[in-house]
Amino acid sequence: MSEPHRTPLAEDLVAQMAAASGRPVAQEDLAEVTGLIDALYDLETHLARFDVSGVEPEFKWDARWEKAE
Amino acid sequence: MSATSSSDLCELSVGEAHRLMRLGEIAPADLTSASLARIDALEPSLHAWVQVAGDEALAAARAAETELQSGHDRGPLHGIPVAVKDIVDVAGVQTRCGSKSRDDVEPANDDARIVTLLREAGAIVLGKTVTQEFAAGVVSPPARNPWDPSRIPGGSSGGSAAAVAARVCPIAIGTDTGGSIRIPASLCGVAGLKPTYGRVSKRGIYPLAWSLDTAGPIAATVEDAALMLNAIQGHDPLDPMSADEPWQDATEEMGRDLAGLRIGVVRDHFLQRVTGDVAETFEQSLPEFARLGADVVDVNWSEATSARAAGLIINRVEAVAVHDDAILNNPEGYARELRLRNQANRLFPSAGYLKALKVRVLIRESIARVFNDHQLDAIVVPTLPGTAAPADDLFVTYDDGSRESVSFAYTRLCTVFNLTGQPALTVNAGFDRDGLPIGITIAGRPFQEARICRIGHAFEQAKGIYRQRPLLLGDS
Repeated sequence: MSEPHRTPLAEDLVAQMAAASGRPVAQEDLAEVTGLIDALYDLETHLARFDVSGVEPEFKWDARWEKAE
Repeated sequence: MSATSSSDLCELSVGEAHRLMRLGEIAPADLTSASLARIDALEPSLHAWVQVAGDEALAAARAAETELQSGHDRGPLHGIPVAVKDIVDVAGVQTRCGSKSRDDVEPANDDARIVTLLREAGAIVLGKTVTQEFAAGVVSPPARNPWDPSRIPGGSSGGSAAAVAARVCPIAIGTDTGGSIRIPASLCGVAGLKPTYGRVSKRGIYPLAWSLDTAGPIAATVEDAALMLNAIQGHDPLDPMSADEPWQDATEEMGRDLAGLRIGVVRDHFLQRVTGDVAETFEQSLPEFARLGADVVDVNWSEATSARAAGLIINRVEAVAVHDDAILNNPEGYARELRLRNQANRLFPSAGYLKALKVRVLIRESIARVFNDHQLDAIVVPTLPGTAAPADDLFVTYDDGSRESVSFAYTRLCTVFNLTGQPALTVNAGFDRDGLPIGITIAGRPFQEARICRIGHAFEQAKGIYRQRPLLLGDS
């Protein structure tokens, strides 16, 4: 699977999302908060190559490889 | 060796100190007094300590001395001073986690499990060391780097690494969620061992991201780290993430060469963007493993970049679950960096977090395949893309002039092994043009810390640079 094309997150959208969640972001912090979220979306593009159909998320997990093999 | 002066005592490894104590040539109280004297001398420049429990440490050292005199030897850590990162509970002491929000927190009722185990092994708790606020960062203000006090020690276990590098004590507790043991250990030129996820109990340690958090040793040498791991490892039924895995002597293979071992070199993700000095030091280190008898082979692991991405997403989202309510109730108690990070992370979709958890399963399968297909005992990679940044300019500057913030640069290579859960050991491999340490990481199979300690110890002894003294200690 290829990495998705994405556009940078807009500050006004972050402002709206934050307000809608009941935790508004101060205007002077908006650019930085937007940049931080945008960085997470950037990281998420690296996960697009994985087909996770049928894979259960592990909330309590075990590092032993026999569990993974 | 003769160890008479306070300064000499601080240079002793755990093994050396224990041997001299058994011979009656030094006493635990001598060691602790030497550590306290060094704290007094260096702290104005080092800023590594939040609280020093001098009286309690001396009392414990005298008790340890009495035990030794009566023939009760608790083992290698008996009488050895240890530093404790200030997100780890010590009974009767505040766990302030580097946060103003906990200025008035009640002292901990109990020791964290690993502190209990260290005390049972005879170690002497000197006090609490500086951490980045709630272990969420790589700078650890106001602590400074003993190799150049104008620079950061890294983090988040920065105070612990700075204390060990300055030879205040040979061992310290660190914690590692995205590199927080290995980053400061590498920047300060000491050994740092992130054990396998679940190997060491986290009970009594303030969480950052529960599915990535580990605790482990920062030590003057790999052998000291292994000895400390021996004391703190073990299944803890009261820690839900603790692995029910048998105790393993982390020193059991130490002293052997590397004949018969296969070490993989992973370049793609790990050398994509590093300074020239880091790349050169890393490449120059590889023949050392071959000289020691290992087969060194190039391997590809194309999932490493995704491992870092998934690890950082999980780290950030789980941290929201830890801090969101507290920040809502007391925003002024948090530094701006963590407050803004929380505001951002709480708006990231849960679907991204859940995908990262699923991807973790697949990435674990991929690294298991790499190890199995190539019959590897370990892989080696650079620990960090650069060296210690100036405290007033928190960036890594690459040879092409580009810059990357330390928070992204320092975690880029380390977080990979939090995601996979493998044990990872950083060892000093050399110095950059400014005389700052450069670490390499040896990552092994899950629960095979003894193997990577053998490799790291052999490498460390062969290189022989672990006894070089930081600038802060002068030339004496």
